[in-house]
Amino acid sequence: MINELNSELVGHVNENPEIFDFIHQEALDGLWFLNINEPEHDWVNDKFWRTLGYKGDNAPRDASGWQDRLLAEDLPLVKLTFDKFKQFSEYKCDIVVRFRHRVGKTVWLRLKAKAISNDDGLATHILATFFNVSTEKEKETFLVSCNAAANIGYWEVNLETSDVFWSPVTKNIHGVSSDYEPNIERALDFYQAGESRDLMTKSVGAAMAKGENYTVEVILITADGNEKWVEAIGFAEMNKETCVRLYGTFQDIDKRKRGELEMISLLRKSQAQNKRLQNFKNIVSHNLRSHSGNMEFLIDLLSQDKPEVSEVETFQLLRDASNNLIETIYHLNEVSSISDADSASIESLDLTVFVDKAIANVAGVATDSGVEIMNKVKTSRRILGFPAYLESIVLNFLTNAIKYRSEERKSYVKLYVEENDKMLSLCIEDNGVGIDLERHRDKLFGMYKTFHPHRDSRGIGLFITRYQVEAMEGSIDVQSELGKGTTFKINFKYEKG
Amino acid sequence: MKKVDIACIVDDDPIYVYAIKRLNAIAAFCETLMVFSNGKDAYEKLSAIVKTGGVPPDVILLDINMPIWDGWQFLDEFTKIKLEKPIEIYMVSSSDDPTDIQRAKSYEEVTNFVIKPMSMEKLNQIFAEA
Repeated sequence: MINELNSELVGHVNENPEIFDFIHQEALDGLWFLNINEPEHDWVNDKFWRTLGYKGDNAPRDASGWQDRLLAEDLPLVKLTFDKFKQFSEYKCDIVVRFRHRVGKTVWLRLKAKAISNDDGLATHILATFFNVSTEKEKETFLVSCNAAANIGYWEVNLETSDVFWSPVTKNIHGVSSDYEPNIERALDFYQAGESRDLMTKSVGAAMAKGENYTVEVILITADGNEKWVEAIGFAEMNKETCVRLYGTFQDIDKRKRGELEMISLLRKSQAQNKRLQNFKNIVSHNLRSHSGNMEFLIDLLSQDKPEVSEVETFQLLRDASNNLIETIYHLNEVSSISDADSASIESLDLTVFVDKAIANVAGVATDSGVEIMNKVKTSRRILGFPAYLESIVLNFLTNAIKYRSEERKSYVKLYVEENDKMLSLCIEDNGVGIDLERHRDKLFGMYKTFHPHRDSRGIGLFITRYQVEAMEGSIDVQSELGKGTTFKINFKYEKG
Repeated sequence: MKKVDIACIVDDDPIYVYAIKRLNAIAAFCETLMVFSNGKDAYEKLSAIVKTGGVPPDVILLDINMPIWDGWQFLDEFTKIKLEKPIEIYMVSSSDDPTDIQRAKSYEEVTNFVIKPMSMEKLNQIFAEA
């Protein structure tokens, strides 16, 4: 049945030129027929010109039109084909050549040709078909240039033929010359003995046995003996249960990997150092307190034992010095303890609760000092921070406002909230003595900076408070006028959504 | 302040010990003051007293950081001894490390934890409760 149809078709083709035309115009991207001894006498079909972007009239009609469109580098290959046909008429030609499109881009055409011979068996004519493989070629070229740019090399192993292919970049990565011929047996030797080689062996084994793809980071020993970190990716092509082909990529990740390892090592070193520092701090702090405590004890004892010594000025100064020492050590301890907060424990907190608690805490002192506390804090938003810090922050500003009240007027402290789309601000406003910001703004949050002669002003408070606010990724703004009052605005991050 | 018969100080700091002795001379919070400079010495002598039927102290002020045996080592051994009358043991230290305070609390024989420096008021408190 099928053979009958075949013969029928052949008959049609012979008899009806339209059938032949249909076949070569529609099925191929070009047809070319030439006399081998007079190659300038040739015929190409319309389709060929259409493939190169020409329509009908503006196709170059002269004899060597096609030669002009062929890329000069490929001309020798075409001429070589003619010679081969002349030598051996049974030669089968299958090559890819490049032509220039009307608009200038490259068209890749696969050229398959056969010779038509005379009775003596010598080739007289050549019939060639063209097939447009531009899309595949373009993709291939793009891929190759991408890989080259990213320093990614390609490799392939055909398990049926044992052929191994390494792309130029792969060879480069392994440190071998471009004419190096890779083989399966030696391939694994490139990996550093130990962890790397074991991992590669295992991964390739799993790929071949079970079709499992792999991505691993291993150390390669290049041809000149250097260690290089690479990322090796492998895919397995299976035919039923058997692996027929392995292919994948190599990427030189040496720089990145070494950077990563160094960072990890630095992190470990700094953690160890932190621990040592912490230990040191604990020991020093304990010992300092022991000795300063003893001094205080002895001074106390002396004044009890021999009360007349309290009249001696030197003794009074000795006592003051001792108290200063104790206080300094206490502050040192406070400051060095604040960096112990764990950043992983940021919580979402209800500001109103903390404000209420702080106000309750100072209620007694406020009443005794005649300071009215006005709590206008109202917000449904929850701020982000550490509960221990927030308590201490609000309390500190409150106690400061009470401490630095003015004796000349009826004192108050007002607390309220301002919001914008980024931050929630707690404002603590007082009508106290105020701060000369022009003079002291820069020192406001420094350690041991006091601006008022006040028995209680130790000067350490705002230093720690600012540290705590900043640890919660917030900030503090201050406005003040000497003799009028101060407003501190503490900006907090709040929970979105 | 109620007077106590025998108070015992276990501490390796001679200045501190001197100060306590002097304070006792002034304030007289106990009749007799026993002093040991390390935990081992204190344990050996005190356990000997108990074994031979002698009178142990009413109050012990126990330092933490001492050579040979520290305060914890003393406690671990001393608490094994069966006592006729309970002894008020106060752990005394310059350390304000919460882990030390927690650890002291874990011994039910320890009455309280006192942070140095010792003072007249603190001593008053201790001996008032004794």
